Amino acid sequence: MSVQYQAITWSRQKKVYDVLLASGAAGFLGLFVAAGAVTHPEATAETLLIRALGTCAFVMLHLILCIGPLCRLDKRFLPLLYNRRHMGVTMFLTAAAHGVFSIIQFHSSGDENPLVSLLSSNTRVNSLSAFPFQQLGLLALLILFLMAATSHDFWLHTLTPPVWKRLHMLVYAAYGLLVAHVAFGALQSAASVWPAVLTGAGLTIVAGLHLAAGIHERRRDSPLPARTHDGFVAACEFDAIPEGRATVAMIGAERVAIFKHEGKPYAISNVCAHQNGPLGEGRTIDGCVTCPWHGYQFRPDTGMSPPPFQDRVPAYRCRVDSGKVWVHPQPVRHDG
Amino acid sequence: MTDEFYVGYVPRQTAAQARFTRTAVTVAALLAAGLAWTLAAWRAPFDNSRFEFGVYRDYTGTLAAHPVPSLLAEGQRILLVAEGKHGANSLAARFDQRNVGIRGALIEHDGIRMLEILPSIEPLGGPVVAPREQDLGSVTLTGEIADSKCHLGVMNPGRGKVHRDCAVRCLSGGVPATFLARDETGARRILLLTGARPPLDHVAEPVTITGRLTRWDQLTTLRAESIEPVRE
Repeated sequence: MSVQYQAITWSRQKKVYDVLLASGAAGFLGLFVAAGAVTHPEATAETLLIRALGTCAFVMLHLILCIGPLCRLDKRFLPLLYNRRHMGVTMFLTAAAHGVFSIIQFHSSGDENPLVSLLSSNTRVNSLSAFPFQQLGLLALLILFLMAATSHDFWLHTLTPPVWKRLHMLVYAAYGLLVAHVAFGALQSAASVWPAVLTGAGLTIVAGLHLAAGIHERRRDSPLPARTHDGFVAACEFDAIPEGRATVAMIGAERVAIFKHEGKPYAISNVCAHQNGPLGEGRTIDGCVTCPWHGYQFRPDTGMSPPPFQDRVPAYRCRVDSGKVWVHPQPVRHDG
Repeated sequence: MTDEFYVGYVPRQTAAQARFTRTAVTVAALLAAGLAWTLAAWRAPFDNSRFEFGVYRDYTGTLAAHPVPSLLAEGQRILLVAEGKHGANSLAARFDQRNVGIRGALIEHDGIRMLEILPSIEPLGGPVVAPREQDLGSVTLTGEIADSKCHLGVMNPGRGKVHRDCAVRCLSGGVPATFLARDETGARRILLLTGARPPLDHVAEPVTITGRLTRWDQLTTLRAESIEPVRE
């Protein structure tokens, strides 16, 4: 195997992604303000800007949440996922601008500290029509800040992938808070029912794609019934695995990716050490299992990243018997 | 099915992948553009109001501190407020029933005028014009409490739930309250609320007010005797 190491910093695809992202966000804001100014010439500029920023961030959050399941359903969406963290940070900055401008507009220049005013102006939590929606947005913004601030790989390694992933799963809590923020705020003041219909459609699409991706993943799993022999568990039919690809099977409580590489079976965890990407949906490149999300690589026999990298995923002993791949549920220990 | 596999750090996507990516990005961009236009256009109707932000003009006339700070200038009673979310009560009290020169930025809504005044008021001589007061009797009306400064034009929309917290801040800072109601003919009325400050908990919500209407030159005020929230 010949390996050449090269630092990956700002690759061409990242640059293209970021240019499209920045121009897309700027275009959305510009179009929203222009449409507002044309259709409602009496509207004030700051009102249009606040609405444009909030709407842009909310639409971007929907896109971010849809990319993950879309990639599970069709690998061709993976280029949208590769630099999704930059989209997340852009979304946070847009939402933060919406929040800051709103606080300036609605709470500053008064007889109270703007942040105190934000928290104390409306305490009608027992009323549906008067429910305080701004605090919901503030809470969501704090979650999005935590995620944006820890989005760099430095924090991924410092916090460890499981903690980092759990922290970033809070995006669903933020999304729920923002749906409530919109429902108790803008939608209650809307003159038409269509913004509510669109918000409901967005929620349905996000939930539906996640459900579809979950069902798709279950269907792709090996259908073999749980049988054990000599401590090994029957995982899948060996001939059903394409060369360089994997079948995923539940071995005990773990999802294990069983790869066929150069005609032999290898079993490693299905969960990438980087961002918990689905290794079983990857393939072998240069003798290494390559994650479909960000291209992290692991040797199929040991689960170790090729040197000098030190990432690792659990590897499992496996063998072929009677046309089936049998996997031992205990990960192999590799010291050092 | 091809066995193409995307790796982000490889300089270029394959031709088939690049085609798919371009299509996906184009569809997303068109959808986003449609959403931007539609959501901007679908907003609640805005009021026909204006605020000449940063444009200060000179006005002269007789200042009245009660029932709300106002200036009788050019034959019209013009409401007065201070900068930010503050009323002009303390400033006006020093010049009550005196002729003054004032610099202010105009706020206007349906013929009702207001000035956001600068703090330097110049006392002037000449005959003082007293407000013409006319009692219009008792009424019971249902509507929404807002702050006069935002509703008359500083913000648009300057009413409704989204604007609620701003109205609370303005009313707390001494900006006169307005009551946006419809009379028995269904016509929209903008009434100035006088007397005690209205309960901030019920700003921007449907309330029924019983009180006494008074005409002060071109302004109509409602002195509230009772304010009851309309049940959800």
